[in-house]
This record gives sequence, C-alpha cells and structure tokens, in this order.
Amino acid sequence: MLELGFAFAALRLSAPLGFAALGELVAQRSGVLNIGIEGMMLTGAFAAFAAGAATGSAPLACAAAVAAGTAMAGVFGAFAIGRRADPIVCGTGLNLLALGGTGTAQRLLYAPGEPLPSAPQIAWPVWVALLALGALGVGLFLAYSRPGLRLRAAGERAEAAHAQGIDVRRVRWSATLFGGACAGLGGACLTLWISDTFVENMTAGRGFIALALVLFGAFRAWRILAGAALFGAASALQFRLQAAGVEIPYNLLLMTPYVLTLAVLALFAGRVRPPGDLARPFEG
Amino acid sequence: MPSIALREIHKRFGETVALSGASLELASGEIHALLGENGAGKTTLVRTLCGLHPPDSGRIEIDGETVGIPSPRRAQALGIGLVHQHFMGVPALSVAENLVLGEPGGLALRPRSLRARAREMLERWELDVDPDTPARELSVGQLQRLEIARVLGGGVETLVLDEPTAVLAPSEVGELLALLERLRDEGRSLVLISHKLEEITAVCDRVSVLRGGRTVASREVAGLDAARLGEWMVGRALPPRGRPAGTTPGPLALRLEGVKAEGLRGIDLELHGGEVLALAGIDGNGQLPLEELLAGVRPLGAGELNVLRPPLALVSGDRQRTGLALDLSLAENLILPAAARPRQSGMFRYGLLRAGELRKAAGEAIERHDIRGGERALARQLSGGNQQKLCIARSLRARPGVLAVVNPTRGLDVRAAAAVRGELRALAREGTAVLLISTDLDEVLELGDRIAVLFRGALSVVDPARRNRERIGELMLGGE
Ligand SMILES: Nc1ncnc2c1ncn2[C@@H]1O[C@H](COP(=O)(O)OP(=O)(O)OP(=O)(O)O)[C@@H](O)[C@H]1O
Ligand SMILES: [Mg+2]
Repeated sequence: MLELGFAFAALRLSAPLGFAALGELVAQRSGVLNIGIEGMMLTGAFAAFAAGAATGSAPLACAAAVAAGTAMAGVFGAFAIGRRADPIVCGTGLNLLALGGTGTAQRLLYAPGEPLPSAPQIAWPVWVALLALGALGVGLFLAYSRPGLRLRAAGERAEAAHAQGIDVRRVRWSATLFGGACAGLGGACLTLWISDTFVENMTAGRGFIALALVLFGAFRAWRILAGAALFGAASALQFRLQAAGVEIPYNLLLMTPYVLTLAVLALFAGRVRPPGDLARPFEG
Repeated sequence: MPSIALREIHKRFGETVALSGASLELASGEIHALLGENGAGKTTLVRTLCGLHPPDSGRIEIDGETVGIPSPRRAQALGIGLVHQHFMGVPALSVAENLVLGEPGGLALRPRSLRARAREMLERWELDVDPDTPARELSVGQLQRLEIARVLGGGVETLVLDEPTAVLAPSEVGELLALLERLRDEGRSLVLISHKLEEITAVCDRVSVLRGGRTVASREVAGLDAARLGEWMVGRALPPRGRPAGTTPGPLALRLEGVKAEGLRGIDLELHGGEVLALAGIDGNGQLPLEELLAGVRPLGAGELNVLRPPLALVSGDRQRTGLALDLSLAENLILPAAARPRQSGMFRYGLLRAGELRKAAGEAIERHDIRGGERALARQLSGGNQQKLCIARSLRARPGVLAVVNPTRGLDVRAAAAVRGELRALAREGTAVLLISTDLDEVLELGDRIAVLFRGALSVVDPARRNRERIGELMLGGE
C-alpha cells in the first residue's frame, strides 16, 4: 500500500515535467530554444483552473490550458521567430509576463479572502495514457516521419534545410506552438490532478527542470521521460522523508530531487550534441 | 523542356556588389558553361536561379515568360536542381536522410526502404558508404558525390552544377561528364561552372563569361581551346604550365615511420627541406586520416611521426569545415594561429589585439594573394575561391618548415591556381619541405619532385623512371 502510494506520488510529480519537456524537445529539435516553459506552464495551470471553475467541465479546462500555452508560445514566436529577437530575452520575458499576468488575473477574478472555487479533476489513468502516447508519438515522429526529418534538419542546419525547399520558419513556428500546447497541458496537470486550486507561482521552477531534462535527456524522448520519472520519484521520496521527520534540514531535502536528477542524467548523458542551429534565428 | 533566361541580374550584399548586369541564356538540350575568376559572381548568379538569392533587379524568364523564383521550393517546383559548390546537406543527419530530405512524399519514413533507396542512389556514384553514417564523417570528395547523387536522384529538368569536379578524381570526372552528356541528350538543360577549362571544351556547347558581376561574353564553345578560354576569362594570355625544375633536397624535415591510425595502414615517408613530395590518390584512400594526423586531431595508432623542422603548417582539404572559422572576418581568420601564441606573434599588446597590426597583416595578404571581398568580410561571405586563397595565405604567414597542403588549388581560377603553384615552388626553393596531397593528377605531375600514391591507407612510391599518367593511374586503382 505504501509502495503504491509512493509510486502514485512519483507519477504525479513527474507528469507535468514530462509533458512540458516533450514539447520543449520538439521545439529545440527544430532549432527554437524557448526558455519560457515555466511561463507557459503557469499560464496553462491558471487557464485550466479558471475555465474549470467557471464551467465545471474538465475537458474544457484542459482545452483552455492547451490554448493558453499555445497562445503564450505564439507571443514568444512573434518575437523570436517573426522578428528574430534573442530567444533568451524573449523566453525570460515570457516567464515574467506569465508570473505577473496570472497573479493579477487571479486577484481580479477571485475576491481576496474568500475561498477559491475548486477545479474539476481528471483521473490519473487519463494523464498517464496521454503522457505515454505523447512520448511514443513524439519519438516516432522525430525518428520515422518525413515532417520529423524536416524538423530535425531545420534545427541542425537551417540554411541547408531552406536550400532543399523546406520552409524553415513554418517548421519552427509549428514546433514552437506544439511546445506551448504541451507546456499548457503540463500546467493543467497541476490544477486538474495534483491539486484542485491555483496558487501564485505554483509551477515553482518545474519549467526550468523541464528545460534541463531536454538537454540531459540527450534530446531523446524516452530518456527525457526517464529523467522526469526520476525527478518525480526523488521528489516523492523527499516528501516521505520530511513526513517521517528525518533529521535533515528541510531545505536540503527540498534540493535533493533537483540535484539527484541532474547528477544522474549528467552521468548518463555522455557527450550530448545539441542541434547545430539551436537558438540561431534563421535569416533566409 | 524549358529554356531559361536570366536577364540583367543585379544583386548586392550590403556594400558588396556581387552582380551588376549578369545574364545567362540557357537553351534546352545544351550544356552551358559559366566561367569567371574567383569572386566574379558565378555562384551568386546560379543561386538566384535556384531561389536562394532573389535578385535585386532583373528578370528570370522561362520559355519567354517572366517568372519569380522567391524560394528554393519554387525552383524545385520548376524542376531546377543545384549541386552546390560546398556541401549543402546536413552534417548531423545520416547519408540516407540527406538523400531524401528535400523530396516530397508521404508521412512515414521506413528505415528499411529508406536504406535500400539510398544504397541504390549511392551505388550509381560508387559511393561506398553505409547509408546510416552521419554525413559529417565523410570526406569532401564523398560529400561532393553525395550532393550529386542527391540532386540527380530528384529527377530535375534543369541541372546546375557549381564546380562539381573540384575534388573528384580524374576517372570520376570522366564519369560525371559522360553522365552530363547523357542528360543533355535526353533534352535536359545544364549549367556547368568549372575552373578546369579542359572540361568545358570537352562537353559544353556554349560558354558565358562573367567578369566583375557582369556577363562580358557568350558564345559557342566549338573552335575554342583551353588556352583561348583562359585568355578570354582573365583578359590576357596565361603562362603555360611548367614542370618541376630539379631541386637539391636539404635536411630532413618530416619523417613518418610505420605510421598507423584509423584509415592508415602503415605509412613510411621522409620529406626533406626544399622538395615537394606529391601524394596522388583517389579521395577516400587515406587523405583525410593523413591530414587529421598531421593536424593532431587523429590519434596516432602506431609508429612515429616527427616534425624535424617546425613549425608545420597545414592547408586543410575542407576549407569550410576545418579550414576557416566562417563567422570570423577575413583578417581574424588570417591571424588565428597568432591567437594561439599571443606573445610571440606581436599581434597582441597587454593581451589586446592590435588593430593596426591586424589591418597591416590583412592588407599584405590581400595584396599578395589577391583575395577579394574586403578584410572585414566574414569568411562565410567570401566566394569559394577566395576562401581557399585565405587558407593558403594563412599557412604561409607562419613561415613553415613543413607545409602540408591538401588540394591547395581546389576552386581557384586558372590564374590564382597558377599563382599558388608558383608560391609552393618558391617556398620549396627557399628550403621549406612541401607535402602536397592532391587528387588532381596534373597538379601532382607539375609540382612533385617525388611522387607517391595513396591507396587504401598505404603509400606506393612512383619510380622516377615511370613517372607518367598511366603508371600513376594504375597505382591509384591499386595496381602493382
Ligand atoms: N552572402 C554574402 N554576403 C556578402 N557577400 C557575398 C555573399 N555571397 C557572395 N558575396 C560576394 O559576392 C561576390 C561574388 O561571389 P561568388 O561566390 O558569386 O563568386 P564566384 O564567381 O562563385 O567565385 P568562386 O569561383 O571563387 O567560387 C564575392 O565578392 C563575394 O564576396
Ligand atoms: Mg563560387
């Protein structure tokens, strides 16, 4: 019973990361480095919560999260792809925008002091199935499909992809929006599964862990998923230890999942070669 | 089959005017040669036709109708294919993936059928590589053949080849030219850019000459010979190609004893100051391993490699990948070795680059080697031939005791190639030991005081008494 509970906890803690990291994987393989995952997740979480609370429908809430994440990615793309602005600056802006925006919206929509409404929930098997299908789909798409090949070419050498008739901008736009949709879904996990309410900045750095997972997962879907699972397990363990009252300062405990995940992934990653044209705006 | 005309094309890149009134009329069923010095604008012109550089002004007509070619996709739809001067695939992708990258087609890519198709295309080019190898592991010659296989596999109607033969062995050149003639006889139109004038007189029907971004002449090839073409291109007669004047070898400068490494099966070689040792061979027989060994980036498996008269300078066979830092300027590339030894070079003061010295060095090299494009131009922006000149200029700046050069005149126009050969000879006369690794037989015969042939990672020395094309050709194919 205890073990099952532990596995559940691990699963719940890893799923949001898994979604977000898979989306970011696709974006990065196309050459787009979007460090605004945190912001897209947070917006997704809030949109799911607000739509869910207002309509009571979980599917609608989920759709709202996906739409919100995609919209945020659209904002990013408008600057980073459309205007060839520096992607790091754009991504940072996205994170700040989301943090401020969701906080403000929450205060405007729900009177302070009164209890927040609660969002409808989606049962865990649905999430697990979605995540598993997503990982499989992304993996197969990248390795064994023509659009996937074109996407990788755009990320590795945009100039060459362009010369061979591939519309690099369109490919990158699609990948970016897909990344946003996935991050939004990851955010929805937080408010439609892990809790039923929204808390300011509730993503708490998960977006950045997802970013690290893509790199340390060596840009492979299954390794990224394994990394997310590891992080979830370490987080669950850490909560266990806290609850058991182990004599370790709790800040150190809080740190362990992060350190452990990075350490393990770094150990296994070997020499990772990121896409050649990652984060390079395409001029053509 | 369409006839294509480019009329009065103008194109500038920032300050640089690349084309100022270039024209090209391509009739169906002809091979049209495009000739011009390094930096004349040949590559730029054919890139406008392929949608890579839409022109600033001018018209493109197909069968008399003006068309816009704003993107490579559009060019593809019009059946125009380009074999690029430098490899234009994706190094990180596999050979098979590179072959199918540009083609339209269904959603799924089944690894097995992909591999089978790739094998078929590669076989035709006798490119003996596993379709799963990443393209980045191929040598320039192999990349060139991959590029040709890719474009021809696409079933194009108008085929443009930008210096396709620069790194091919003579037998491969013959094969390619025969194929081009066959394509022409099927009614396709072809444009061939080449600095090898014999190729032009051999297969081309018409020739257009570009000078300074403008088309200065266009006529039938019949009745022209290589000498006349060359004269026509540079505007004056060229000196005939020479033979090595006997030199007296000096002290030993480079010694390889039983050298084995990945791709090399045991090389023994002694090179003295004042002589040119030429290594002929078909690309892929150990040229790249030997180059990398000398550069110190490939580990020595067994044996000994001694540079007795340092420094050793190297002109890489792949100017874009290992020769140049493409995003640094001409001047910066020139002094890169100085940055590795900042104290001795005199280029730096208090650790800071001395702008005056940099400009002086760049000015000298530009003057001496006639590098066109401007010292501030990024290496990426130079024409292929000018990139090559830059590599040569840098290696000479080091005042090397041993100079190893791999295909040093690749992509150089006749005049620049003659100048480089002259420099190499002069260098040898002054006592430098020159190791020439070349797939160009004429060059080997012209420059080599001694000749050896690389075959499957081993060397066979050419007996001075049997120093002729036939003998060397035999050895290149593994003959005894
Ligand atoms: N992307 C670019 N940016 C800036 N300048 C460029 C660019 N491409 C070409 N040029 C300049 O345009 C001129 C013509 O170059 P081009 O590559 O067409 O010459 P080319 O005739 O093909 O020479 P080569 O025989 O050496 O290949 C050169 O002066 C070159 O520096
Ligand atoms: Mg050129």
